[in-house]
Amino acid sequence: MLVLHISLYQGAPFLWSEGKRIGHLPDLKKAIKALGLGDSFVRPKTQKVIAWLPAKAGKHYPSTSLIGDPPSGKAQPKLQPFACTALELNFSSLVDIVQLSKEGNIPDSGVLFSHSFHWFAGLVALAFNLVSEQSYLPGIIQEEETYYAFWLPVLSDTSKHDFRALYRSVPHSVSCMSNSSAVVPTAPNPSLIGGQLDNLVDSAIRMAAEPGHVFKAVSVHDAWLNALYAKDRRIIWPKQSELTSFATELAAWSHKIYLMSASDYKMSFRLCEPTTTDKWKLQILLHPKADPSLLIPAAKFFKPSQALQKDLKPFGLPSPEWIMNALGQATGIFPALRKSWTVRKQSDLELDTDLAFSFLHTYAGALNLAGFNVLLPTWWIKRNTQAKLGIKLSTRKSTSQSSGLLNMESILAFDFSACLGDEELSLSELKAMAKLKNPLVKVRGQWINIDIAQLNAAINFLDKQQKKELSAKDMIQLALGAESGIKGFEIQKVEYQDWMQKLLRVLSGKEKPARLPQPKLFKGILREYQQLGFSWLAYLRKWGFGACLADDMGLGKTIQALALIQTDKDKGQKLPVLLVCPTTVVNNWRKESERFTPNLKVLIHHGSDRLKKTAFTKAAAKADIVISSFGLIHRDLGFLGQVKWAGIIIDEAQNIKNPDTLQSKAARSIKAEYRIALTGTPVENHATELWAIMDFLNPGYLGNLNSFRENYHRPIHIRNDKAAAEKLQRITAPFILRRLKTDKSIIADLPDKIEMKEYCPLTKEQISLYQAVADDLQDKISSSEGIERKGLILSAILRLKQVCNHPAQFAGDNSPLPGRSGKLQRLLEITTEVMANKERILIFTQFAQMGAILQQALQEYFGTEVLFLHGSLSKGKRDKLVERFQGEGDAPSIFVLSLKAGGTGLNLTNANHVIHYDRWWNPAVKNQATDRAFRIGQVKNVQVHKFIVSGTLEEKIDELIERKQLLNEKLVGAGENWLSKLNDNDFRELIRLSDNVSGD
Amino acid sequence: MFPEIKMSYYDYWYPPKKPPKQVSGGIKTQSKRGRFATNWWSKLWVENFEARTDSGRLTRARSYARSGQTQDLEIAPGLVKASVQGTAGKPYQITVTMTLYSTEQIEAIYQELGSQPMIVAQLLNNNLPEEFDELLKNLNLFLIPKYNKDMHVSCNCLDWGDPCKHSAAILYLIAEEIDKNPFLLLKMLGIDKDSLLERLKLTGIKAKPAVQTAEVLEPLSADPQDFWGKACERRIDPLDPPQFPAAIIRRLGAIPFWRSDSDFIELMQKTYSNAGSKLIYLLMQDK
Repeated sequence: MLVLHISLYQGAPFLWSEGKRIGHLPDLKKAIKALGLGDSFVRPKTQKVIAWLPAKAGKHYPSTSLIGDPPSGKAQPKLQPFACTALELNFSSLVDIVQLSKEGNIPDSGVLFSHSFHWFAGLVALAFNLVSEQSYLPGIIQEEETYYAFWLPVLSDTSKHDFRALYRSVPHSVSCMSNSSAVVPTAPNPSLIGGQLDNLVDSAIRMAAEPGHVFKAVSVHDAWLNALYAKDRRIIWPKQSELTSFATELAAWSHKIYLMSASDYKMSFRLCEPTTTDKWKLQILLHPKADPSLLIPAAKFFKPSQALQKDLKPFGLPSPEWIMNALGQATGIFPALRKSWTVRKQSDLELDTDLAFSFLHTYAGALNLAGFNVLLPTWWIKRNTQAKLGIKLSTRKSTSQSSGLLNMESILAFDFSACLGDEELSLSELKAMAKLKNPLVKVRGQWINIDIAQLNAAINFLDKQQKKELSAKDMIQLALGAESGIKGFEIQKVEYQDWMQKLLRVLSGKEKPARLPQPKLFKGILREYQQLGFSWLAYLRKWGFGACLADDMGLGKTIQALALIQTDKDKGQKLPVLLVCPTTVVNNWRKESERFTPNLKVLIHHGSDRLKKTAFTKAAAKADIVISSFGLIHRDLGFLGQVKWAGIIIDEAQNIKNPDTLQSKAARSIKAEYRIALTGTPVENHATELWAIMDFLNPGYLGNLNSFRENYHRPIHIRNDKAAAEKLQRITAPFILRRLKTDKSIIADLPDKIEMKEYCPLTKEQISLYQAVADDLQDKISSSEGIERKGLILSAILRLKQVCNHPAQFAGDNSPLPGRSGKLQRLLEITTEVMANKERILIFTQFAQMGAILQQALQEYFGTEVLFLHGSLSKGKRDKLVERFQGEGDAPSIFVLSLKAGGTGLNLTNANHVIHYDRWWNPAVKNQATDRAFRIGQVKNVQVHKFIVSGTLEEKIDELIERKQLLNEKLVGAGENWLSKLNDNDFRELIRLSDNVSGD
Repeated sequence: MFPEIKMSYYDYWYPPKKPPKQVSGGIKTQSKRGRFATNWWSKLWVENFEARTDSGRLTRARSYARSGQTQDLEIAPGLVKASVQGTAGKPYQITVTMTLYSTEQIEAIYQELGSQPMIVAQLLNNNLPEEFDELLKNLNLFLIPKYNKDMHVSCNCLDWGDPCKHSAAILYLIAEEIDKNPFLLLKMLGIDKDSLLERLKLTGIKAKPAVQTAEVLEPLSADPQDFWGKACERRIDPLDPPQFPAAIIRRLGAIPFWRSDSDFIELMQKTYSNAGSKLIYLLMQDK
């Protein structure tokens, strides 16, 4: 595990690593590689420096406990010098820094980002903001006799806030570097940070401006321009006196902007309606930016009274030069202000009705645009909620689609008409209005402010297109309120025929689809919400739409999908369904289908001995469900794509979230009569992910990827555009059904505890290890008896369980962990989902050794602290762990416990997921562990995942217990000893690896 | 033999037809064609000297002003010194002298302005309101010094015209600048912007007390929590690009007496929009 820090050294940012060693170059290179950083990091420009860190006797205090424990001993920490090799960040690497910081720690990279890393990324983001909002000016900075050309930021109110927040949270580690092991550097201060911001803004513009822009230096101005765009900021000009006077002139030129930016006050104008006289009044007011409600007449600042000065003490008084400048600027916009003021007469400006109207119509907006606040009467502000001219659409009666399949490209015919609120207007009425040439129009007794240009455009539009056709895609987006209009007209109203009305009501969630009965051959009972879920899938499908079932983990997405397939089968569907899922849940699907839909023929298309080409297509045609994995659909696309599929269902749909990956492309390219996606992770958080899933479900609905990036991804993720995010949410919501365990309607329907078995695969390595242990035992078992035989059996069971858990546990060799265990892989998947939903998880194992392995693997994968409670901890330490896990906010969300040491009396209600990584074949102990997360006070539903490796003794013992309930009580109660009482043949069968196991 | 240095009287009678010697790095007007003055005060400034000479000279003066023949220009209260490159080998030296307001007159102006803040406000916004002219008239003062009375122009060229094309070129350059910045006109008459502001503060507008605390360099903290820090509580969200590119530059306008072949405003507009879009492009790239 490595932590990356960024510190400033001699004015430049430096990246350095903290791991077992400080600033160790190979570590840094490893981290850069693990993060997949690009060209800008490839040939690092490194520097040997001294990092001053809090330490005790030469051992530093780690920045996080994931790196190690703080040095022991009672002495106070002192700053001590450490040799450190750091990498200077060039400008192009800063873009990566911002991106990385935004994404957060990358699971499975083994790299953590420190506060200093995020802090510096924040400063870069601020600099980038200043550049993109174009808030900077070219200037000159003088240092002794040398003049430098500089692009200098001009801070807006928002960026000032950002800057202050950054200053308040600056970690001291940002300034920990020096070139001397004798002098301790000083803490970060505003001028250091401000200087760094200046540098970043300047570099950003130099980078982005056209390279190699050289002007023939015939004057001091050219010399300045050259230095603004060159690498070297120095202004090269022979006549020093010209440089000096130019620097002064330039400062005077930009003075006004800095004056405005530095002001802590804002100027407001308030228009008041006439009261006693017929004169309107315009008040000129000032208020501190920090308190917009504190409006004070500007005139009072000419001779501020003692009382006023006292009131404004926290803000200071505004600079008179700024007041004058602001007034001058406002007068430039609204010339009537020139008459307003003398020192002798300081009253509000009086306006007659005509001028007041011009102010409302024109000047108020212009002043606002220039940064002034304008306060207007409420009736004027509300005028926009008055009825407006818009367009009404109605489906044409001749439209024939009254049932049957639509798709997104189906064409529907509409009629258009103009309307004003509820009133429909004829074209001739519109034309009559246009003749008046007056923005105030009285329509059926009501005064309305109409935009003449829009009126003419409407006439034009209706003249040409009385009839129009829309695609189903446009119609649905329109009905969901995505498009506010056509060619700039607001769509006021859409009238649909009944069938479409009903469809749209279901799509927009206003109405529930008709509930389908549970299929006859389905074993088991669907819960109410599950029945609703599968009816919903069926309803959307009826219209030809793909749908995404995004229920929380544990709500039974698999069952709902199976119910749908079974319903089709009952109705005579002959074609197979292709089900694509991650390798780790292939067996789960098989098991679930065996349990709930035993009459469906399942073909597993997985492993190295899977059927190919014609053999496959023949077998698939006979099957009802073909289960395959994401990896294979791309590899076997050639023949998978040739089968006529009734439908394609992808489970854990987040696997196709990256639209450029081969598996995502393959999933989208397979043709089928219907498409369903299942996922337990919220998909709506990342726009491009949503696109990939929606494009799988309803090709073309969100447009192509490029236009989608332009219209949604970019506005949402780069500009944080809330309207675009809402719009995307609105148009995709009808195709996504997400129900949470916490929903009231669901909770009532759920048991407090949901138990599920997770059937995990073995890796190739695990298979060969398992086989070796099993073979070894086969030979020995028949030649032994009594205690020896019992010992052999119990140790074999132990070793096989270790192999199923992880080869590293079996070998006990501290070997690397990733990619070697099917169980661990599944654990990481489930934990990812749990963390994505901001839930917490308990993981039980009967082996303390395995617990340590899990803690390490999870910490390295998620880069977050994982708690581990085991037998060798003192009571006090155990209590502390429990207390931390039960804490609020950023308490650790993963807790590994050894089954025995878990003991009794622990209150772990903060978790709502419990994993039994391995099983002690003694239900009594297991239930206790589950109950731990399930104490009184638990308000969440608890899900218990029992891990079982398919085809191994784990699965067989599980079946044995399920079959022979009686055994449980009599024999199983005494631990695992009962297993040694099995005869040789039964035991051989128990540990034999099933034929259908194939590592992948 | 003597070199041929003597020229006949007629050689000077009419301004030479050949174009002036080309120079680089001279001061050019911003306006490429049309008028240098758009506001009433700068128009008055131009009328003041245009009436004194013929249109041929004025045409050539305008083209001198536009092509950057002016090599040096120094503006001080009551005195302008400039050099303009003509057809001869060396540039001509031009001097413009103006009658300055007296100290008492300036004081009287300050007094009046102090009670009419809107005039100062508009001046700061580069607008010289007509109220200011009235104010001067009430004090029996001129705004534009009368040519050959309160203002005298001289040039060491041999042209008899008054003003000659070289001095007229300088007067055009000044016209364009005072059009954008009336304070320059006031400066020539003896009213300094900074002193004016300084002076008005004395007449009752209190300044905000400047809170200037010297930056204290604190020692680096040895406390591990302070040292490694905490998360910043404020998220820095990306901002929208502005509606109009380089608005900040357009608000300030061109740099006075610009002397480069490149168009400053145009260059800035290009830089401002390029830098913004290139940055967004970089941030948008999928890794």
